[in-house]
Amino acid sequence: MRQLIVLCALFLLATPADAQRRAVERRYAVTPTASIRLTAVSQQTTLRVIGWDRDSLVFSGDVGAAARVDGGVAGGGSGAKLFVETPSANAAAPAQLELRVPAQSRLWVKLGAGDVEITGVRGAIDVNVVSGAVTITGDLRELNAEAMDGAITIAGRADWLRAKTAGGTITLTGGGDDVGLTSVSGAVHLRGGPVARARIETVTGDVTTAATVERGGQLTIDSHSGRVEYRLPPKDGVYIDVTTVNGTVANRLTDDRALPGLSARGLELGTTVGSGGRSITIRTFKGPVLLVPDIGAK
Amino acid sequence: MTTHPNDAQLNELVDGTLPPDEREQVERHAAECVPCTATVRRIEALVGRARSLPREVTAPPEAWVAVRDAVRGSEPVGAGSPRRVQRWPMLAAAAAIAVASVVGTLWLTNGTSAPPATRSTTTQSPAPASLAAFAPIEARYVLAVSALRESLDERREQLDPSTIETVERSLATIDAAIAEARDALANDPANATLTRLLASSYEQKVTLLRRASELPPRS
Repeated sequence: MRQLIVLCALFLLATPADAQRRAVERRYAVTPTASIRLTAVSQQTTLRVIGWDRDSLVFSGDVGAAARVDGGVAGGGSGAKLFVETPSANAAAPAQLELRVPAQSRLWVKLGAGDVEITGVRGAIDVNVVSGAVTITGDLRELNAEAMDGAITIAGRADWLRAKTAGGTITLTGGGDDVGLTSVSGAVHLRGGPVARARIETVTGDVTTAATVERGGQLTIDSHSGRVEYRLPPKDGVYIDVTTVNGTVANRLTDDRALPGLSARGLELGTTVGSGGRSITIRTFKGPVLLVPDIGAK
Repeated sequence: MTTHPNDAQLNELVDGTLPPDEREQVERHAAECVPCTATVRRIEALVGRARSLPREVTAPPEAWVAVRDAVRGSEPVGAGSPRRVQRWPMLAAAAAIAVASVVGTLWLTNGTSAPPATRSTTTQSPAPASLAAFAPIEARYVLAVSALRESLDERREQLDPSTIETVERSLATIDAAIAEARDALANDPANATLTRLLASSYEQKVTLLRRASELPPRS
Protein backbone atom coordinates (compact mmCIF):
# COMPACT_ATOMS: atom_id res chain seq x y z
CA MET A 1 0.00 0.00 0.00
CA ARG A 2 2.82 2.32 0.93
CA GLN A 3 4.51 1.58 -2.40
CA LEU A 4 1.30 2.42 -4.23
CA ILE A 5 1.05 5.77 -2.46
CA VAL A 6 4.66 6.56 -3.32
CA LEU A 7 4.07 5.62 -6.96
CA CYS A 8 0.96 7.79 -7.11
CA ALA A 9 2.85 10.71 -5.58
CA LEU A 10 5.66 10.29 -8.10
CA PHE A 11 3.14 10.16 -10.93
CA LEU A 12 1.47 13.36 -9.76
CA LEU A 13 4.80 15.09 -9.43
CA ALA A 14 5.94 13.91 -12.84
CA THR A 15 2.81 14.67 -14.80
CA PRO A 16 2.96 18.50 -14.83
CA ALA A 17 6.56 18.49 -16.06
CA ASP A 18 5.80 15.98 -18.81
CA ALA A 19 2.71 17.88 -19.77
CA GLN A 20 4.81 21.01 -20.30
CA ARG A 21 6.89 19.37 -22.98
CA ARG A 22 6.23 18.50 -26.58
CA ALA A 23 8.12 16.67 -29.25
CA VAL A 24 9.62 18.34 -32.30
CA GLU A 25 10.56 16.63 -35.53
CA ARG A 26 11.24 18.32 -38.83
CA ARG A 27 12.81 16.83 -41.92
CA TYR A 28 14.01 18.70 -44.97
CA ALA A 29 15.87 17.84 -48.14
CA VAL A 30 18.93 20.09 -48.41
CA THR A 31 22.01 20.29 -50.60
CA PRO A 32 25.24 18.65 -49.38
CA THR A 33 26.83 22.05 -48.70
CA ALA A 34 23.75 23.80 -47.39
CA SER A 35 24.04 26.76 -45.04
CA ILE A 36 22.11 25.85 -41.92
CA ARG A 37 21.28 28.29 -39.15
CA LEU A 38 19.88 27.41 -35.78
CA THR A 39 19.00 30.04 -33.19
CA ALA A 40 17.81 29.06 -29.73
CA VAL A 41 18.50 31.86 -27.33
CA SER A 42 15.52 32.18 -25.04
CA GLN A 43 15.62 28.97 -23.03
CA GLN A 44 18.11 26.49 -21.61
CA THR A 45 19.01 24.26 -24.52
CA THR A 46 21.02 21.10 -24.84
CA LEU A 47 21.95 20.63 -28.45
CA ARG A 48 23.60 17.73 -30.19
CA VAL A 49 24.59 18.18 -33.83
CA ILE A 50 25.61 15.24 -35.96
CA GLY A 51 27.06 15.49 -39.45
CA TRP A 52 25.95 12.63 -41.66
CA ASP A 53 26.43 11.54 -45.27
CA ARG A 54 22.88 12.27 -46.39
CA ASP A 55 21.41 15.23 -48.23
CA SER A 56 18.84 15.88 -45.59
CA LEU A 57 18.35 17.72 -42.35
CA VAL A 58 16.54 16.28 -39.37
CA PHE A 59 15.70 18.50 -36.43
CA SER A 60 14.23 16.64 -33.48
CA GLY A 61 13.91 16.66 -29.74
CA ASP A 62 11.56 18.11 -27.23
CA VAL A 63 10.86 21.64 -26.14
CA GLY A 64 8.68 23.41 -23.60
CA ALA A 65 4.98 23.61 -24.43
CA ALA A 66 5.20 27.39 -24.81
CA ALA A 67 8.17 27.28 -27.17
CA ARG A 68 7.73 28.29 -30.78
CA VAL A 69 9.67 26.27 -33.33
CA ASP A 70 9.88 27.94 -36.71
CA GLY A 71 11.94 27.97 -39.85
CA GLY A 72 12.37 26.08 -43.06
CA VAL A 73 14.48 25.73 -46.15
CA ALA A 74 14.98 28.11 -49.04
CA GLY A 75 16.88 28.33 -52.29
CA GLY A 76 16.11 24.77 -53.31
CA GLY A 77 17.60 23.40 -50.12
CA SER A 78 20.78 25.47 -50.21
CA GLY A 79 19.83 27.18 -46.99
CA ALA A 80 17.86 26.39 -43.88
CA LYS A 81 16.93 28.47 -40.86
CA LEU A 82 15.56 27.11 -37.64
CA PHE A 83 14.42 29.02 -34.57
CA VAL A 84 13.34 27.94 -31.14
CA GLU A 85 11.86 30.80 -29.18
CA THR A 86 10.04 31.04 -25.91
CA PRO A 87 7.90 34.13 -25.40
CA SER A 88 8.78 34.72 -21.76
CA ALA A 89 11.48 33.57 -19.40
CA ASN A 90 8.83 32.23 -17.00
CA ALA A 91 7.57 29.82 -19.63
CA ALA A 92 11.03 28.84 -20.79
CA ALA A 93 11.22 25.12 -20.11
CA PRO A 94 14.52 23.55 -21.18
CA ALA A 95 14.86 22.23 -24.72
CA GLN A 96 16.70 19.10 -25.71
CA LEU A 97 17.46 19.09 -29.39
CA GLU A 98 19.25 17.01 -31.97
CA LEU A 99 20.16 18.29 -35.39
CA ARG A 100 21.43 16.04 -38.17
CA VAL A 101 23.00 17.87 -41.08
CA PRO A 102 24.97 16.97 -44.22
CA ALA A 103 28.59 16.50 -43.21
CA GLN A 104 29.82 19.14 -45.67
CA SER A 105 27.29 21.77 -44.66
CA ARG A 106 28.02 25.20 -43.26
CA LEU A 107 26.54 25.30 -39.80
CA TRP A 108 25.75 28.42 -37.80
CA VAL A 109 24.49 27.94 -34.26
CA LYS A 110 23.58 30.58 -31.71
CA LEU A 111 22.55 29.44 -28.26
CA GLY A 112 21.67 31.42 -25.13
CA ALA A 113 22.23 29.06 -22.23
CA GLY A 114 23.13 25.43 -22.66
CA ASP A 115 25.67 23.05 -24.02
CA VAL A 116 26.43 22.18 -27.63
CA GLU A 117 28.07 19.01 -28.84
CA ILE A 118 28.96 18.74 -32.52
CA THR A 119 30.38 15.69 -34.22
CA GLY A 120 31.06 14.73 -37.80
CA VAL A 121 30.55 18.10 -39.50
CA ARG A 122 33.35 18.47 -42.04
CA GLY A 123 32.32 21.74 -43.69
CA ALA A 124 32.25 24.87 -41.58
CA ILE A 125 30.98 25.63 -38.11
CA ASP A 126 30.29 28.95 -36.48
CA VAL A 127 28.97 28.33 -32.97
CA ASN A 128 28.25 30.94 -30.34
CA VAL A 129 27.05 30.09 -26.85
CA VAL A 130 26.45 32.73 -24.24
CA SER A 131 26.41 30.52 -21.19
CA GLY A 132 27.41 26.93 -21.68
CA ALA A 133 30.03 24.63 -23.08
CA VAL A 134 30.96 23.83 -26.66
CA THR A 135 32.38 20.44 -27.65
CA ILE A 136 33.40 19.73 -31.23
CA THR A 137 34.79 16.47 -32.50
CA GLY A 138 36.14 15.79 -35.99
CA ASP A 139 38.18 17.42 -38.73
CA LEU A 140 36.63 20.24 -40.68
CA ARG A 141 37.38 23.14 -43.00
CA GLU A 142 36.51 26.17 -40.86
CA LEU A 143 35.64 26.54 -37.24
CA ASN A 144 34.72 29.57 -35.18
CA ALA A 145 33.66 28.75 -31.63
CA GLU A 146 32.77 31.37 -29.05
CA ALA A 147 31.56 30.95 -25.48
CA MET A 148 31.31 33.62 -22.85
CA ASP A 149 32.17 31.61 -19.76
CA GLY A 150 31.83 27.99 -20.80
CA ALA A 151 34.55 25.63 -21.89
CA ILE A 152 35.40 25.05 -25.53
CA THR A 153 36.76 21.60 -26.23
CA ILE A 154 37.87 20.69 -29.73
CA ALA A 155 39.23 17.34 -30.83
CA GLY A 156 40.24 17.52 -34.48
CA ARG A 157 41.77 19.88 -36.98
CA ALA A 158 40.55 22.73 -39.15
CA ASP A 159 42.15 24.70 -41.95
CA TRP A 160 41.01 27.84 -40.18
CA LEU A 161 40.18 27.67 -36.50
CA ARG A 162 39.25 30.27 -33.92
CA ALA A 163 38.11 29.70 -30.34
CA LYS A 164 37.29 32.53 -27.96
CA THR A 165 36.10 32.60 -24.37
CA ALA A 166 36.12 35.09 -21.55
CA GLY A 167 36.32 32.80 -18.55
CA GLY A 168 36.11 29.29 -19.98
CA THR A 169 38.89 26.85 -20.68
CA ILE A 170 39.88 26.18 -24.27
CA THR A 171 41.28 22.76 -25.10
CA LEU A 172 42.37 21.94 -28.62
CA THR A 173 43.58 18.42 -29.16
CA GLY A 174 44.55 18.57 -32.79
CA GLY A 175 45.62 21.44 -34.95
CA GLY A 176 45.16 23.37 -38.15
CA ASP A 177 46.74 25.62 -40.72
CA ASP A 178 45.68 28.85 -39.08
CA VAL A 179 44.74 28.61 -35.42
CA GLY A 180 43.78 31.34 -32.96
CA LEU A 181 42.85 30.61 -29.34
CA THR A 182 41.84 33.55 -27.19
CA SER A 183 40.78 33.74 -23.57
CA VAL A 184 40.68 36.39 -20.88
CA SER A 185 40.97 34.37 -17.67
CA GLY A 186 40.35 30.83 -18.87
CA ALA A 187 43.21 28.42 -19.40
CA VAL A 188 44.24 27.41 -22.91
CA HIS A 189 45.57 23.95 -23.72
CA LEU A 190 46.93 23.01 -27.12
CA ARG A 191 47.88 19.38 -27.60
CA GLY A 192 48.82 17.11 -30.44
CA GLY A 193 49.01 19.28 -33.54
CA PRO A 194 50.30 19.74 -36.07
CA VAL A 195 49.73 23.46 -36.40
CA ALA A 196 51.16 25.58 -39.20
CA ARG A 197 50.44 28.98 -37.69
CA ALA A 198 48.97 29.29 -34.25
CA ARG A 199 48.43 32.21 -31.96
CA ILE A 200 47.34 31.98 -28.33
CA GLU A 201 46.37 35.04 -26.31
CA THR A 202 45.27 35.25 -22.70
CA VAL A 203 45.17 38.00 -20.12
CA THR A 204 45.38 36.00 -16.89
CA GLY A 205 44.68 32.49 -18.17
CA ASP A 206 47.41 29.88 -18.07
CA VAL A 207 48.68 28.40 -21.31
CA THR A 208 49.97 24.88 -21.88
CA THR A 209 51.11 23.71 -25.28
CA ALA A 210 52.39 20.29 -26.23
CA ALA A 211 51.72 20.34 -29.95
CA THR A 212 53.83 19.66 -33.00
CA VAL A 213 54.44 22.68 -35.19
CA GLU A 214 54.87 22.05 -38.91
CA ARG A 215 58.29 22.64 -40.47
CA GLY A 216 58.58 26.36 -41.10
CA GLY A 217 55.56 26.94 -38.92
CA GLN A 218 55.00 29.46 -36.18
CA LEU A 219 53.48 29.39 -32.72
CA THR A 220 53.01 32.66 -30.83
CA ILE A 221 51.86 32.93 -27.23
CA ASP A 222 51.03 36.25 -25.56
CA SER A 223 49.84 36.41 -21.97
CA HIS A 224 49.77 39.23 -19.49
CA SER A 225 50.01 37.24 -16.29
CA GLY A 226 49.17 33.67 -17.16
CA ARG A 227 51.68 30.90 -16.62
CA VAL A 228 53.02 29.65 -19.93
CA GLU A 229 54.25 26.10 -20.20
CA TYR A 230 55.73 25.06 -23.52
CA ARG A 231 56.29 21.33 -23.87
CA LEU A 232 58.55 20.50 -26.78
CA PRO A 233 57.50 17.40 -28.72
CA PRO A 234 60.40 14.92 -29.04
CA LYS A 235 61.00 15.26 -32.79
CA ASP A 236 60.43 18.98 -33.26
CA GLY A 237 63.41 21.21 -33.99
CA VAL A 238 62.54 24.74 -32.96
CA TYR A 239 63.83 28.23 -32.37
CA ILE A 240 62.30 29.62 -29.20
CA ASP A 241 62.16 33.33 -28.44
CA VAL A 242 60.96 34.25 -24.95
CA THR A 243 60.47 37.76 -23.61
CA THR A 244 58.97 38.62 -20.25
CA VAL A 245 58.72 42.02 -18.62
CA ASN A 246 58.35 41.02 -15.00
CA GLY A 247 58.05 37.24 -15.15
CA THR A 248 60.51 34.41 -14.77
CA VAL A 249 61.87 32.00 -17.36
CA ALA A 250 62.81 28.40 -16.60
CA ASN A 251 64.50 26.62 -19.50
CA ARG A 252 64.84 22.85 -19.21
CA LEU A 253 65.42 22.28 -22.91
CA THR A 254 68.89 23.69 -23.38
CA ASP A 255 71.71 25.19 -21.36
CA ASP A 256 70.84 28.72 -22.49
CA ARG A 257 69.70 31.04 -19.76
CA ALA A 258 67.40 34.00 -19.89
CA LEU A 259 69.26 37.31 -19.68
CA PRO A 260 68.16 40.85 -18.86
CA GLY A 261 66.74 42.65 -21.88
CA LEU A 262 68.39 45.48 -23.80
CA SER A 263 67.04 48.13 -21.48
CA ALA A 264 67.98 45.98 -18.47
CA ARG A 265 64.29 45.34 -17.89
CA GLY A 266 62.72 41.91 -17.98
CA LEU A 267 64.26 38.74 -19.31
CA GLU A 268 64.95 37.51 -22.80
CA LEU A 269 65.85 34.08 -24.03
CA GLY A 270 66.61 32.86 -27.53
CA THR A 271 67.43 29.20 -27.86
CA THR A 272 67.51 26.59 -30.60
CA VAL A 273 66.73 22.90 -30.37
CA GLY A 274 67.57 20.88 -33.52
CA SER A 275 66.47 22.23 -36.88
CA GLY A 276 63.27 22.57 -38.84
CA GLY A 277 62.64 26.28 -39.09
CA ARG A 278 59.86 26.21 -36.54
CA SER A 279 59.50 29.41 -34.59
CA ILE A 280 58.05 29.65 -31.10
CA THR A 281 57.52 33.14 -29.68
CA ILE A 282 56.41 33.62 -26.09
CA ARG A 283 55.72 37.02 -24.53
CA THR A 284 54.42 37.69 -21.04
CA PHE A 285 54.17 40.70 -18.81
CA LYS A 286 54.53 38.93 -15.50
CA GLY A 287 53.51 35.38 -16.19
CA PRO A 288 56.20 32.76 -15.57
CA VAL A 289 57.46 30.81 -18.57
CA LEU A 290 58.51 27.18 -18.43
CA LEU A 291 60.18 25.33 -21.32
CA VAL A 292 60.30 21.57 -20.88
CA PRO A 293 60.52 18.46 -23.04
CA ASP A 294 57.22 16.69 -23.63
CA ILE A 295 58.28 13.45 -22.05
CA GLY A 296 54.82 11.96 -22.16
CA ALA A 297 54.57 12.32 -25.95
CA LYS A 298 55.45 9.44 -28.27
CA MET B 1 -1.03 36.10 -46.89
CA THR B 2 -3.26 37.08 -43.97
CA THR B 3 -0.59 37.41 -41.30
CA HIS B 4 2.36 39.77 -41.35
CA PRO B 5 5.59 38.34 -42.72
CA ASN B 6 8.30 38.03 -40.08
CA ASP B 7 11.49 40.12 -39.96
CA ALA B 8 13.54 37.38 -41.60
CA GLN B 9 11.16 37.25 -44.56
CA LEU B 10 11.21 41.02 -44.99
CA ASN B 11 15.00 41.02 -44.78
CA GLU B 12 15.18 38.27 -47.39
CA LEU B 13 12.73 40.16 -49.57
CA VAL B 14 15.11 43.12 -49.60
CA ASP B 15 18.09 40.81 -50.14
CA GLY B 16 16.30 39.11 -53.03
CA THR B 17 16.80 35.69 -51.51
CA LEU B 18 13.16 34.70 -51.00
CA PRO B 19 11.93 31.77 -53.12
CA PRO B 20 9.72 33.05 -56.00
CA ASP B 21 6.39 31.83 -54.61
CA GLU B 22 7.08 33.17 -51.13
CA ARG B 23 8.40 36.41 -52.59
CA GLU B 24 5.16 36.93 -54.47
CA GLN B 25 3.14 36.45 -51.29
CA VAL B 26 5.28 38.75 -49.19
CA GLU B 27 5.37 41.45 -51.89
CA ARG B 28 1.61 41.28 -52.26
CA HIS B 29 1.18 41.65 -48.50
CA ALA B 30 3.74 44.43 -48.20
CA ALA B 31 2.05 46.39 -50.99
CA GLU B 32 -1.13 46.61 -48.93
CA CYS B 33 0.30 46.80 -45.43
CA VAL B 34 1.60 50.17 -44.26
CA PRO B 35 3.76 48.90 -41.33
CA CYS B 36 5.38 46.20 -43.47
CA THR B 37 6.03 48.66 -46.29
CA ALA B 38 7.65 50.98 -43.75
CA THR B 39 9.79 48.13 -42.45
CA VAL B 40 10.88 47.18 -45.96
CA ARG B 41 11.85 50.78 -46.65
CA ARG B 42 13.82 50.97 -43.44
CA ILE B 43 15.69 47.79 -44.30
CA GLU B 44 16.36 49.05 -47.83
CA ALA B 45 17.65 52.32 -46.43
CA LEU B 46 19.87 50.48 -43.96
CA VAL B 47 21.22 48.19 -46.67
CA GLY B 48 21.76 51.19 -48.93
CA ARG B 49 23.70 52.99 -46.22
CA ALA B 50 25.74 49.86 -45.46
CA ARG B 51 26.58 49.44 -49.17
CA SER B 52 27.73 53.01 -49.37
CA LEU B 53 30.32 52.42 -46.65
CA PRO B 54 33.87 52.01 -47.94
CA ARG B 55 35.42 48.57 -47.51
CA GLU B 56 38.50 49.94 -45.79
CA VAL B 57 38.54 53.15 -43.87
CA THR B 58 40.44 55.05 -41.30
CA ALA B 59 37.63 55.53 -38.84
CA PRO B 60 37.15 59.13 -37.82
CA PRO B 61 36.18 59.60 -34.19
CA GLU B 62 32.63 60.57 -35.10
CA ALA B 63 32.00 57.43 -37.19
CA TRP B 64 30.36 55.40 -34.47
CA VAL B 65 28.19 58.29 -33.36
CA ALA B 66 26.96 58.86 -36.93
CA VAL B 67 26.12 55.19 -37.48
CA ARG B 68 24.40 54.94 -34.12
CA ASP B 69 22.36 58.09 -34.78
CA ALA B 70 21.37 56.81 -38.21
CA VAL B 71 20.14 53.58 -36.64
CA ARG B 72 18.26 55.50 -33.97
CA GLY B 73 16.72 57.74 -36.62
CA SER B 74 15.41 54.71 -38.50
CA GLU B 75 13.38 53.44 -35.57
CA PRO B 76 9.67 53.06 -36.18
CA VAL B 77 7.65 55.96 -34.90
CA GLY B 78 4.70 54.02 -33.60
CA ALA B 79 5.50 51.69 -30.75
CA GLY B 80 2.39 49.77 -31.65
CA SER B 81 3.75 48.74 -35.01
CA PRO B 82 3.05 45.01 -35.38
CA ARG B 83 6.49 44.37 -36.88
CA ARG B 84 8.66 46.56 -34.77
CA VAL B 85 12.27 46.13 -35.87
CA GLN B 86 14.50 45.10 -32.99
CA ARG B 87 17.25 47.64 -32.49
CA TRP B 88 19.94 45.53 -30.88
CA PRO B 89 21.02 43.63 -34.01
CA MET B 90 21.35 46.97 -35.79
CA LEU B 91 23.39 48.43 -32.95
CA ALA B 92 25.51 45.30 -32.88
CA ALA B 93 26.02 45.59 -36.63
CA ALA B 94 26.93 49.22 -36.27
CA ALA B 95 29.33 48.36 -33.47
CA ALA B 96 30.86 45.65 -35.66
CA ILE B 97 31.32 48.20 -38.44
CA ALA B 98 33.04 50.53 -35.99
CA VAL B 99 35.33 47.73 -34.81
CA ALA B 100 36.07 46.60 -38.35
CA SER B 101 37.01 50.16 -39.16
CA VAL B 102 39.34 50.35 -36.22
CA VAL B 103 40.89 46.96 -36.91
CA GLY B 104 41.37 47.97 -40.55
CA THR B 105 42.95 51.15 -39.34
CA LEU B 106 45.33 49.26 -37.11
CA TRP B 107 46.45 47.10 -39.99
CA LEU B 108 46.97 50.13 -42.15
CA THR B 109 48.69 52.05 -39.39
CA ASN B 110 51.00 49.15 -38.75
CA GLY B 111 52.15 49.25 -42.32
CA THR B 112 50.53 46.05 -43.49
CA SER B 113 49.78 46.22 -47.19
CA ALA B 114 46.27 44.84 -46.94
CA PRO B 115 43.85 44.16 -44.12
CA PRO B 116 42.45 40.67 -43.73
CA ALA B 117 39.60 39.98 -46.11
CA THR B 118 36.82 37.91 -44.63
CA ARG B 119 38.91 35.85 -42.24
CA SER B 120 41.66 37.18 -40.05
CA THR B 121 44.94 35.34 -39.99
CA THR B 122 47.22 34.73 -37.06
CA THR B 123 50.08 36.56 -38.73
CA GLN B 124 50.68 39.88 -37.05
CA SER B 125 52.23 43.04 -38.32
CA PRO B 126 55.20 44.41 -36.39
CA ALA B 127 54.34 46.17 -33.16
CA PRO B 128 55.03 49.88 -32.89
CA ALA B 129 58.43 50.20 -31.28
CA SER B 130 57.56 52.97 -28.87
CA LEU B 131 54.87 54.51 -26.72
CA ALA B 132 54.73 57.52 -29.05
CA ALA B 133 54.18 55.29 -32.07
CA PHE B 134 51.52 53.35 -30.21
CA ALA B 135 49.61 56.46 -29.09
CA PRO B 136 47.52 56.92 -32.27
CA ILE B 137 46.70 53.22 -32.32
CA GLU B 138 45.71 53.34 -28.67
CA ALA B 139 43.46 56.32 -29.38
CA ARG B 140 41.57 54.27 -31.93
CA TYR B 141 41.26 51.31 -29.58
CA VAL B 142 39.88 53.69 -26.97
CA LEU B 143 37.39 55.02 -29.51
CA ALA B 144 36.21 51.52 -30.42
CA VAL B 145 35.97 50.56 -26.76
CA SER B 146 33.94 53.66 -26.01
CA ALA B 147 31.50 52.99 -28.84
CA LEU B 148 31.04 49.35 -27.92
CA ARG B 149 30.73 50.14 -24.22
CA GLU B 150 27.98 52.62 -25.01
CA SER B 151 26.18 49.99 -27.05
CA LEU B 152 26.49 47.47 -24.21
CA ASP B 153 25.30 49.94 -21.58
CA GLU B 154 22.21 50.75 -23.63
CA ARG B 155 21.27 47.08 -23.68
CA ARG B 156 22.29 46.19 -20.16
CA GLU B 157 18.72 45.78 -18.90
CA GLN B 158 17.89 43.37 -21.72
CA LEU B 159 20.73 40.99 -20.96
CA ASP B 160 21.01 38.18 -18.49
CA PRO B 161 22.52 39.51 -15.20
CA SER B 162 24.92 36.58 -14.87
CA THR B 163 26.21 37.20 -18.38
CA ILE B 164 26.68 40.88 -17.64
CA GLU B 165 28.55 39.89 -14.49
CA THR B 166 30.88 37.65 -16.51
CA VAL B 167 31.49 40.41 -19.03
CA GLU B 168 32.17 43.03 -16.36
CA ARG B 169 34.51 40.70 -14.47
CA SER B 170 36.47 39.99 -17.63
CA LEU B 171 36.59 43.66 -18.55
CA ALA B 172 37.96 44.46 -15.10
CA THR B 173 40.65 41.81 -15.59
CA ILE B 174 41.60 43.29 -18.95
CA ASP B 175 41.55 46.85 -17.63
CA ALA B 176 43.92 45.88 -14.82
CA ALA B 177 46.28 44.34 -17.38
CA ILE B 178 46.06 47.43 -19.60
CA ALA B 179 46.79 49.75 -16.68
CA GLU B 180 49.76 47.65 -15.60
CA ALA B 181 51.23 47.43 -19.09
CA ARG B 182 50.63 51.12 -19.70
CA ASP B 183 52.43 52.13 -16.51
CA ALA B 184 55.34 49.91 -17.44
CA LEU B 185 55.40 51.37 -20.95
CA ALA B 186 55.50 54.89 -19.55
CA ASN B 187 58.71 53.92 -17.74
CA ASP B 188 60.12 52.01 -20.70
CA PRO B 189 58.67 53.69 -23.79
CA ALA B 190 60.82 51.84 -26.31
CA ASN B 191 59.82 48.36 -25.14
CA ALA B 192 58.25 46.65 -28.17
CA THR B 193 57.14 43.65 -26.11
CA LEU B 194 55.11 45.94 -23.88
CA THR B 195 53.42 47.63 -26.83
CA ARG B 196 52.59 44.22 -28.29
CA LEU B 197 51.14 43.00 -24.98
CA LEU B 198 49.23 46.25 -24.53
CA ALA B 199 47.81 45.95 -28.04
CA SER B 200 46.88 42.35 -27.30
CA SER B 201 44.97 43.40 -24.17
CA TYR B 202 43.14 46.14 -26.06
CA GLU B 203 42.30 43.64 -28.78
CA GLN B 204 40.85 41.34 -26.13
CA LYS B 205 38.78 44.18 -24.74
CA VAL B 206 37.41 45.16 -28.15
CA THR B 207 36.64 41.53 -28.97
CA LEU B 208 34.87 40.95 -25.66
CA LEU B 209 32.81 44.12 -25.96
CA ARG B 210 31.96 43.32 -29.57
CA ARG B 211 30.76 39.88 -28.52
CA ALA B 212 28.82 41.35 -25.60
CA SER B 213 27.18 43.91 -27.89
CA GLU B 214 25.98 41.06 -30.10
CA LEU B 215 24.45 39.07 -27.27
CA PRO B 216 20.80 38.27 -27.77
CA PRO B 217 18.34 39.75 -25.26
CA ARG B 218 16.86 37.45 -22.68
CA SER B 219 13.22 36.74 -23.32
